[in-house]
Amino acid sequence: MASISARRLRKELSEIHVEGCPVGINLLSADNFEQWLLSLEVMGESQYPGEVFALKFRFDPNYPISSPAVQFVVDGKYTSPVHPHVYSNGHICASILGNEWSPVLSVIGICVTLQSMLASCKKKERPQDNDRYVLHAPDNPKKTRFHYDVDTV
Amino acid sequence: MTDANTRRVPTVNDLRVKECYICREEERHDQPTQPPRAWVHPCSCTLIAHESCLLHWISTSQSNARSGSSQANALKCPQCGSKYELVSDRPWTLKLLDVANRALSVGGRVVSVGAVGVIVCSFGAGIYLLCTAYGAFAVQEFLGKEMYDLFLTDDPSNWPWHAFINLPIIPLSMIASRISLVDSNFVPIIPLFLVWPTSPPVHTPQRLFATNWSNGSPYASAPGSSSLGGLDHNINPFSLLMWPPAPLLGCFLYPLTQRIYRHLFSRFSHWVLDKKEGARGEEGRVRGVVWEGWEGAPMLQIRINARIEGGEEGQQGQGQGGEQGQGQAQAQVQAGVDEAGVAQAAVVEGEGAEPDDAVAAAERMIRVSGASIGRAIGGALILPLVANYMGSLLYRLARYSPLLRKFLAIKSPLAFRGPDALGLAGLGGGGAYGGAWVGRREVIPAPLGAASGDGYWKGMTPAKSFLVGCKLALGVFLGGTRTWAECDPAWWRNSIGLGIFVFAKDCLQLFHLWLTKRELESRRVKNKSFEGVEVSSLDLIEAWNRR
Repeated sequence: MASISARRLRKELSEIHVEGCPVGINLLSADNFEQWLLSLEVMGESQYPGEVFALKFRFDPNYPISSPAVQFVVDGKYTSPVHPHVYSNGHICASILGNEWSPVLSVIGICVTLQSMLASCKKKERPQDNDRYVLHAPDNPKKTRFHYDVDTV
Repeated sequence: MTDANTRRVPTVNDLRVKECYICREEERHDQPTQPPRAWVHPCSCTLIAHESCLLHWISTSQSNARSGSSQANALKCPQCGSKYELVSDRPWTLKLLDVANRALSVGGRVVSVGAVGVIVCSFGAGIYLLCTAYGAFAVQEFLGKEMYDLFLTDDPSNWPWHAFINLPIIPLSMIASRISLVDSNFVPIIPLFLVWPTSPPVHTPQRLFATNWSNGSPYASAPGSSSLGGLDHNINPFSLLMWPPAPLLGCFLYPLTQRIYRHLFSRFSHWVLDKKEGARGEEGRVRGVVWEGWEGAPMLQIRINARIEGGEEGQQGQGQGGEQGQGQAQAQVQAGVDEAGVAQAAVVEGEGAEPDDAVAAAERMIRVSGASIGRAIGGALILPLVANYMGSLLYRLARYSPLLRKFLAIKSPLAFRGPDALGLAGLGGGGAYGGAWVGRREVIPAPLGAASGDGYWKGMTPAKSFLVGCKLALGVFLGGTRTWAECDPAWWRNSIGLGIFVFAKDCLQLFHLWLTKRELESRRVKNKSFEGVEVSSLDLIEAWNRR
């Protein structure tokens, strides 16, 4: 019997295939139930015109009870968006990925939330402690205890 | 809305298709899963879930809640925000056990904190005891058995309060003075020993005064008598000039002596190692050994070529090797017993290494410095023993030389002196064997001499007693108590002995260094004849053929 996470992810995947992704979001790869890649683009007026980002989702067997580890891909092809809540190594400081995670959210739901987070950005800048954080950041952003700002974007 | 009251309100079981918002599984009304699973609609919106999924989510986020918000988050609907209501069987027995369990975990935390505390404390106490025991040992060795029995004794219950601070600091400061990298002119041991001259003897003074001073003592009964001369001599502020020097004076003299000695010895060793060996002419021929002035201080340092790559460790090793090995001797009473070999090792190894092979040399330096830490600690801790040994050596020598006896101010042990002898011995200063052996009654001089007795203060106006009191206090501060002054000054000959030992050690070190240097400079490759080589294969000069 497949694990709960595999069954749920299979379901989410078939929904994506049937209904398609929202505008600006595309599935890049979902070959297994451990890691997915999706592309993200902010549509309309924004600080990021024409920029395409990639999101990496890592799921553990307890998904959706436990949140997925989500970060922007930073490699030769993709970069991390310049945003007050996104570190240059791709880690995202967003409460829905941490203590406000709920199983009602899905991969597409997270993508849409992050899309709107980027869309509402007024000023392109890195978090204040970016350099310090990137220097010591763990590989998995879930191991970081972010201190969420009051204005959870 | 009014219809809602009349119509039947649907429940989760009335839905045609149910989808769990957690696991996203669907269940159609006409195709129930086998075995059937319970569904729940816990809030006021359209979200529904398997009861097991929801309970799993709630219990998971409760158990690994990193913050309170996460826990609260799981207890409400993510969509409409209404709170979930949990119903459970919670009989009073469970409540009781929960409370008991919570109390036990609090208790457990207290116990574990306590256990850690006990371990830390007992470890600390062990270190403290060890240090204190060593401090007592050092004091005994340095001050001599007699003074030790007067001021400290083997029984800690007799100790004055400051002993419990003073004693454990002794070994620590001795070690610190040895391994500190800075060139410390102020070594804290002497001041530590200086606590003792001004402290009263540990035996209850009242009893002693009663037996020895108040009754029949010439000081107490007749303040104007001739024997008071000796007393006044001891409590006089000018007692700075007495012999052996007052301990406080030594406190000032010691750094001065140390500096002068250092300066002289460094010039001496410079002369021995440099000028004299200049016969061979080649200065710096000893490969890798460089003489260098150090920050204008009157001292020299040996540096090894490899030191740049040597890093901190290597540098430290060289620093020590250089400092001690150069024989830049310190008149420190606690100056080192060892280190001689370290410096030599450094020189020889530095020489053996190719200048290019700097890293390998540096590694060797690290090893040397590792060993030298142990030497430094051991060397520091053995000093009181050395001082005592040298002191008793001097004591034995003094038997044959009255001059030395005077210089060392040797007095006979108090146990062999009667009350009358005390004043005379005090006057005579060095009357070690001249002291009258009146009786074997143990006599301990009171800390303030005659002033310790009540009679001394009788008949004085308040102003005069204040003046006399000030004078006494100053005298004690400068010259130590009378008890201290009357004792056989083992500390004095121990200090002198240690000084001699340090000088001898420095000389030996210098000699070793000199021999090493000479060996390096005299090193030649041995010349051999062509024995065994075919003569015809050699292109020889005609002069050889003619022979």
